Amino acid sequence: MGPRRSWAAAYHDAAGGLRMTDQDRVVATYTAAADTFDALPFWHEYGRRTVQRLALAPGARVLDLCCGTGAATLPAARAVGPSGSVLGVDLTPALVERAATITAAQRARGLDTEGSIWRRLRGVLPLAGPVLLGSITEVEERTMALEARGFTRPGRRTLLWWPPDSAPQRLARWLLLLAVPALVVARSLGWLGWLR
Amino acid sequence: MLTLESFTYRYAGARRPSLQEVSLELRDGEVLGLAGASEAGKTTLCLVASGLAPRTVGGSLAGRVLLDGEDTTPLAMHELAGRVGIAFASPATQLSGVAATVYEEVAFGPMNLGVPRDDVIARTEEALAALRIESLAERDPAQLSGGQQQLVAIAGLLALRPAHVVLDEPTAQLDPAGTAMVAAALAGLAATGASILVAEQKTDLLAAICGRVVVLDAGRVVLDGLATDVLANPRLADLGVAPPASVRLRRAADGMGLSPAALARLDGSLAP
Amino acid sequence: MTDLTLDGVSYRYPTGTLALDAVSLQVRAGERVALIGQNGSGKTTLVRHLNGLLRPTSGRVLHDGMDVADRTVAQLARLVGLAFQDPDRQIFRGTVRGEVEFGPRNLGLRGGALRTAVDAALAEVGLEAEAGTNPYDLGASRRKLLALASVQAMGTPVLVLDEPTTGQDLRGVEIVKRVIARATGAGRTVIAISHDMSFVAETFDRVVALRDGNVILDGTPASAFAEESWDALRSTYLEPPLPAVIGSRLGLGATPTDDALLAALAAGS
Repeated sequence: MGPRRSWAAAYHDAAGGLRMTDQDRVVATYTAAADTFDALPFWHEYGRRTVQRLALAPGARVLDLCCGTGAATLPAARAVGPSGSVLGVDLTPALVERAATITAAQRARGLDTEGSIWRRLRGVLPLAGPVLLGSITEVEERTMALEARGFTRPGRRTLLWWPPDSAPQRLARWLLLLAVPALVVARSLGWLGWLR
Repeated sequence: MLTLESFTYRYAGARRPSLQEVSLELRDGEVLGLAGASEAGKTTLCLVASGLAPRTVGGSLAGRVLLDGEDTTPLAMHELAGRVGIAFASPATQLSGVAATVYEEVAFGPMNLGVPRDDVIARTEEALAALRIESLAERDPAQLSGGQQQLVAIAGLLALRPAHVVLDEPTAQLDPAGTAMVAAALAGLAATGASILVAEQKTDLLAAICGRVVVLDAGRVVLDGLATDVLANPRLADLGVAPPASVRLRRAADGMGLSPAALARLDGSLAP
Repeated sequence: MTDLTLDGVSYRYPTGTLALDAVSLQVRAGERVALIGQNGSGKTTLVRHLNGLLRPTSGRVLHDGMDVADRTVAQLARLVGLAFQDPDRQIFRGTVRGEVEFGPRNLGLRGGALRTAVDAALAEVGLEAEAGTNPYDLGASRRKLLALASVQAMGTPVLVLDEPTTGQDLRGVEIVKRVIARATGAGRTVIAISHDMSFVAETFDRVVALRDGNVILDGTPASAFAEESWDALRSTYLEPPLPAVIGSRLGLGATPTDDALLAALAAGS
């Protein structure tokens, strides 16, 4: 397929944005939060503030590494608008497997991954490059496949399954629904002072 | 009927057009083969026929694509999805990634189209039956072999009940077992009167299922006719296309100056 | 010159799957060997033992009679060049030339020697004119030829190719055949994994078939594709090439290639 892909440009944009300040502090924070990563609103705030600091212009191309569930990816997408693009990359079993193959292929061409730290640093580009490029191509292919199956159709989708529902659950939902007007009434009558 | 009318297409940023004034007809119930060297324009033609070019892929174009005489230019991609289905060479990237079972994967398309639930179920089961993969329904698509994943991808597009099915080198990444699986499935589909456009390097496969074959060279149609004629055309090798094994053998025999008796023996053994 | 030996090599994946089952195989320097078998039969696992990417869970791998267990992959890359099936798993440079340079550079080539090796490799695959092109501006088939060139340029005594003709058009296949011919002409050993039986029959002197981690066939193309071997082939979902089938139908003996079949026909009449 045709168009030129300049991964160097994407890397550059991202390098401008991925500011690793105090490495130890960052590592400690991530490790401490690891178990509850995406449950924390902290990450959404962190993502939003990061994108704010980047001052992304509409039309920019952004690469979000270790994007998780999109704490920075989604604000970035809003910032760059329809003329820009954002690629979020994170670990999936398929990506891990792909990275392992890439590592093997580069080692087979003499890349030393068992030597000194300096030798191993020389491996960053040969190892990261194909991962990123491969992700870009894969995203393009996946997008085409999704669109060819009507993924972009506006409007409701048909659901095949309904989540299992039981009588007690339905009762609980009704009770919650009724509780709202009850609480409003109680509050206006001053009965439940602690509700302030 | 799917028609390309003098279609020229250039990808964004490309130096030259990938398709140049291509005119092509895929009639209802026909199986049309598409052959050509790498970068001759086979993939581009498949993308144009399915509507992905220019909608998803971008690029500039001239000419029209018509579905039963209707110009498809104003139609959006999701509107075309139900009328022309497309499958690609890479099995894994075609899976939606959101389905836990093959059943849900095949149902993905109809679910997107918003048709009634009973209709979704009917279409899914029809598609699974058409490719004889009902036994795979409860399996995790990510755990299947390449050939099986391709069948799931094809079933997924059949569930959209498209009038035309486009396949871009569906066996390119498969081992012989997978290739045989997909070839058998396509032959079965062809037998039901489906309208299929299949691009392939494997001319033996095209010989087995296609009625007509078109050959592309540098974005232009250079051969268009009956499969038996086109695949026996001596120009194929110069156009970068490997002739079917039997054609190659027969041509080599001619070049060798074998006795008529020997040639007759050979012809007798090559007959199906 | 490097003789390769697998001596009772077994490999069990951490998940428990036994991919190679006590395989013993010897490849002499300069041989042209094709490895065939369905996906999962152990072909890729086997070739990864040749350059140390995988280490046997039992058994030994020997180069010229010496165990390679204590040599690193980087060291073994000087002896065995392995071209992977998917070129996009290794391409990372912005130019074709840069990409081909990577391997020889890792082996210590510089300056004039590097330029010569790269120019020669590019010429062999027909990419001399694209030396400055971005690899992703080439189609998938030419990228695959680029990956082949980038390993061939390393000049290793052994060249291992994983599915070199998959996805290639006629010209691509011809280029691959020429690269293999020149390599063996220069005394290099060539081992290729392939499921194109015509290509295998026409290009290689020896065919080794694997099934479930065991060698089930090992011989010339004539013997590997002769009627006696068809059951073994079919058990690993492979079909003999057309000339072999026709030759058998006409009672002409083992004729794995067009040339062999036609020669037998001419002799018979």
